[in-house]
Amino acid sequence: MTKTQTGGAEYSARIQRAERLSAAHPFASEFLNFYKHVASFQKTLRANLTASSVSKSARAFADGTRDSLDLTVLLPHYRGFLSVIEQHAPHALREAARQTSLLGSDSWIASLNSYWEFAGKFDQEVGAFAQFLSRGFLQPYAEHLAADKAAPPVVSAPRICPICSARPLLGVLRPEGDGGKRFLLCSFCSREWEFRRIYCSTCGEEAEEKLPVYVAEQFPHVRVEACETCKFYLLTIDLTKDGNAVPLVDDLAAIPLTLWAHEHGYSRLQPNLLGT
Amino acid sequence: MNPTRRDFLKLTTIGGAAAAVFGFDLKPAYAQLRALKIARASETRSTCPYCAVGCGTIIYTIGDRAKNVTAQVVHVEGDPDHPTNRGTLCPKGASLQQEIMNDRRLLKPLVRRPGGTDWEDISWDQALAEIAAKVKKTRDDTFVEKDAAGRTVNRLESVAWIGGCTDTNEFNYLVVKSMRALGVVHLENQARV
Repeated sequence: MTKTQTGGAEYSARIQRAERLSAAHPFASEFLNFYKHVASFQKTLRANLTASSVSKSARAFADGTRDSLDLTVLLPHYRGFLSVIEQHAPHALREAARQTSLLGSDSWIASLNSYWEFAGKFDQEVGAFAQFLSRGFLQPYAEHLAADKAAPPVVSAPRICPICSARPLLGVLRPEGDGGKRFLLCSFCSREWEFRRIYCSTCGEEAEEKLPVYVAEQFPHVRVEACETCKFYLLTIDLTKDGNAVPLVDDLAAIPLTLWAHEHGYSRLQPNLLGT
Repeated sequence: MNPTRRDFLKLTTIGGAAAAVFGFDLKPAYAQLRALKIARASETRSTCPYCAVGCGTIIYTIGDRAKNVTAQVVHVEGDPDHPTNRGTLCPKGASLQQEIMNDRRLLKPLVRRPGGTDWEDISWDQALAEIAAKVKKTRDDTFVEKDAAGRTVNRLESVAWIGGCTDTNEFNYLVVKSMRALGVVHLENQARV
């Protein structure tokens, strides 16, 4: 079994990128060092899921909807996840993980099932800690299910993931010709889908003068693509400017830009795993 | 330890709030925020003016839209969503920024008189009046009302029109109407996009 099939290569790239950015950006090192531990756990979990051949034929993401969550393979790993968080997270999150680990498996099942239903759609309503714990744990499973699933043909510009119907976390510009084609990155299953440029992914605004792009000299490959109509923004990682960037990780390192956007009245549709 | 739903909804309106709730120290990020040099860019879709292919472009303009600031074109690239060129541009199209931001760009009409060696300034009014007079004289002198066989043709073979690929449908409609009214038969456009 290759690393690609187990998702190992993706997670290794994320961990390495977090190490590199942590050294380059001391202001984000606390986030990135913690994320490395989360990603290492996720890497192992994903490999376990692949090895235990959790059925991908399950209709878990059939037609962009989610069937019930199969926890038989996942649940034995949850205590391990909580102990990683207890060891490496900052104090409040550590305490939340400790309290969760004291609850019984019935409570874990209820909270994981509940998050599975709303993941990537109404995360703000779940509560910060419940969201982090469930999202960080279930994400490798969602990525595992989505990995080999063929995306349905794109007939328009869908603003939610065509695989799992979660909201987008980031935009990604990938080289196309001499320019950059935009993709949206799913906040839950991490799949990308094509999405046209100069078009608000939240409200559909397409008037060019209402869609400013802000770029900081310190982060030339990170764009704040704002919309003056709905006041939401999409953080976009421009891989034509930095081909080494790993969108999920570079998003965490760009926390000053996130703070800047919020100071200027823009909101983010879907926060990242660490709540920025 | 868990915030209430109401607390959380309030918190999510502030950037990084959930991260602060987790216990991350945001002070270093806020310090970095003060040092950020941020530029606002606008992206505008356009069409390359050069050849008949009609490639789509995205023009990047820097400027905060303040009234005392002139927006500057800083970059032009192929439009990745355009079905014709899908993000590519030829070397000539890729240099479009230098055409727009160029101190040698003509901003007024010039004329070089018959036999002259230098270009002279001319006002728009005078240029249009002279062109109209020459068109009228040429038409009056060379208009073909009947052909050799005596058939009525009403054509003007000594004037031709060529259009460019950025001409709009509406503009071309007016061109055809006015040129056909003069009797012009040599009517062409480099673009058929």
